[in-house]
Amino acid sequence: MGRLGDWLDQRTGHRELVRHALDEPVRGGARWAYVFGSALVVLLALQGLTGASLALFYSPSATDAWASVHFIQHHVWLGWLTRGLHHYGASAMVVVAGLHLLQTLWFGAYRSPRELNWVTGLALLLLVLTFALTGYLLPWDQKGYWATQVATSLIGLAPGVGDPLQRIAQGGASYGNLTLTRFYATHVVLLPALTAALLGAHLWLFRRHGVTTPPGMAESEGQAKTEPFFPRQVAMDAGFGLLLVALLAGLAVRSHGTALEAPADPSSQYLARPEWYFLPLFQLLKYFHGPWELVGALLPGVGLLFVGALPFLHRYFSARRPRVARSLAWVVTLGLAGAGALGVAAERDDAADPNVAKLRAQADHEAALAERLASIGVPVTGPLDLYRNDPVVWGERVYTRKCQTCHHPCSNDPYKGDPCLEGYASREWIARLLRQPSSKYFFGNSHIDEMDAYTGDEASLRALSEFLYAQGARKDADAALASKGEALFDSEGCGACHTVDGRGSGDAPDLKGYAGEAWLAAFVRSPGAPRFYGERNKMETFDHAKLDDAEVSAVVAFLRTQASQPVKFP
Amino acid sequence: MEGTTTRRGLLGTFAAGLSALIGAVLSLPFLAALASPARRNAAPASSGGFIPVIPIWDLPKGQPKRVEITADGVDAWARQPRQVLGAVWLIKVSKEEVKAFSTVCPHLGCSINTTPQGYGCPCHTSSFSTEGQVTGGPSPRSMDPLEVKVEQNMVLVRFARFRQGQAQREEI
Repeated sequence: MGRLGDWLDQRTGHRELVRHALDEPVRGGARWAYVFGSALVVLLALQGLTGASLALFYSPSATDAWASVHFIQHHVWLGWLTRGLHHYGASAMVVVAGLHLLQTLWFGAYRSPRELNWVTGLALLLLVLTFALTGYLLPWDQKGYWATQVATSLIGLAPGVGDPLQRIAQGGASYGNLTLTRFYATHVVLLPALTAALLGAHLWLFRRHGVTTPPGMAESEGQAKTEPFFPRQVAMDAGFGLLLVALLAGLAVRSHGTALEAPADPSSQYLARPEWYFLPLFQLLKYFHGPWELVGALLPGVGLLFVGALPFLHRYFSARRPRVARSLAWVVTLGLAGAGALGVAAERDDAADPNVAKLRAQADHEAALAERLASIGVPVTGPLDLYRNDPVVWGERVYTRKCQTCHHPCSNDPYKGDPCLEGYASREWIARLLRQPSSKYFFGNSHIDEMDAYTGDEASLRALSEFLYAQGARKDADAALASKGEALFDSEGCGACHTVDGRGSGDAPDLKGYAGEAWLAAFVRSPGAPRFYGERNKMETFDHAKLDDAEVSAVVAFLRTQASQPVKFP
Repeated sequence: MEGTTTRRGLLGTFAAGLSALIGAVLSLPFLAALASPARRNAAPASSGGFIPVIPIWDLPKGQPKRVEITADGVDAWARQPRQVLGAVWLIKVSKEEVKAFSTVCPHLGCSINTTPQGYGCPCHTSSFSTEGQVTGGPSPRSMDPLEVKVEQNMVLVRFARFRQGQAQREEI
């Protein structure tokens, strides 16, 4: 071992290098306050290694990104842990960088001649935030997609150059493959290279100027208490680093990695919220409207300029005011606290808003659904076609978009839509329709009032309902009851308007195969056919330009499931 | 002075140990990710069920016919409809019975062709009888038979791949 070391040393001189690194004099002695810089290096290594692991599987394209992240989460060995560590590691970088900044600030280690240490450090902090911003989009899930939209839209607000800048940032006029390749290249090539270069400069400058004497300690005392970096400071740094890694691993295990929301859907309603460290900026924008929005967006930049100019301001003012360092430290600390307060305010606003809770619950539901459907693989055409894996799920999505504009959710109060279809064609739904066709939940709002309410006894109502229910080829239909209903259908006068022959009279919908697959598909395609409402039709016609065959089948599949659902109106 | 040196030595070992531990912990997820494909069932596989390939009347009796196997496949995460998984040699023995062989040579994976004597691999000249038995060349075993059945005049094959270069047949 020793001989190998000698051989290597003669050629590389590595022992000198290691000694130089470990014997760095720590003026005033080792202390816990100094651990943050090393902790950032540990975190950087963590992000680098977990990032490389993710890159082994990640695919930066609009069709594949979400699917590949789902694959990492569920199929890669410890993939979930890797994602979790990378996610929490990013947050830890911001926290520890903030602590490192505060420590440097209060110890006065930014003062001349360390201006450039400070400025490179601040630039590194900005790089950390850019890492976070670019990384957030990469899973191409709802969260990253919408939060990043806000960021790039803000760039677009810049007067004059906004549009080209926004296009440059997102790789085109809108989000897509080019946005992902751009963000990915930035995240894994450009930013790491810049970080390595700046970190090198930062460390070089640090070694050049050395550790400052701690505040409240005389220069001579600091000199006397100087000790080398190794071993005490190294032990403290490593201890803190290990604690940090253990904490992150604990967080990652507790949440089994990190959430992957439903795939990015440009047509959806989604609550765009940034990650916590950008919440203050998000909250700040709430206070600026119209032309002032730009001011809100630029305010943090002004704050940043102030922080960057700190060593120069100190140098300028300290000639006249010797205690200016403390004032400056207070200004920056209070500024950070203010940002924290803004973040808390953002959280509190959301917690108090019932609409936020509703949208969050909806997002959680969609995420769980997408995760389940993706377990058999994601279609090559992209993750949004995932929902096509399950016709009922796909049908509900199409229904929500295309049908619910008129057939409102039953829970709307007051109800102003056309017939409410939750529980559609169930026995209960049919029975209620027969009793109260003019109710607002049926044809009341559609102003179809030709149908008379059925006034027969309860048993007859049940038989009639069963007859109509059985038309939809229901496996659980009661044949005896249905045939009783069939007899009533004629004797009670239903047949005066409604036919049951598959052709229709033009007076009222033909009921042969009512609410069955073929009936529904034909109805959706042409409700104005003589077989259905004829000239009295008031429903929109869904031809092939509006819904393709697969979408119609899906909507039909979804509507068919409603017969086993409870009716959701009074 | 001696005490200080010992303390420094102990603390030094402690510090170095902690640093090494951090390194080990950080490497763990990376090594796992790197080694992940070596595990079995590392990815959701295409279903290993029978795949319909050709109507029985399209097979000439007694003569091997090479037929492509197309099925919905999953490449890592991407589900691709009607993907060509590979090919298979089909020999109709009777109206109800068909034999199937993998077209992949058990030696090193080249594609097996028919020859006047039966089958042969053009890469390293392994030769096989009409029954798929190895008759010459470097192939360590006979051609790999595939499970096949005929249902409602349709020939269905359970497509499989086998480890190459060994005498024992092992599905992968």
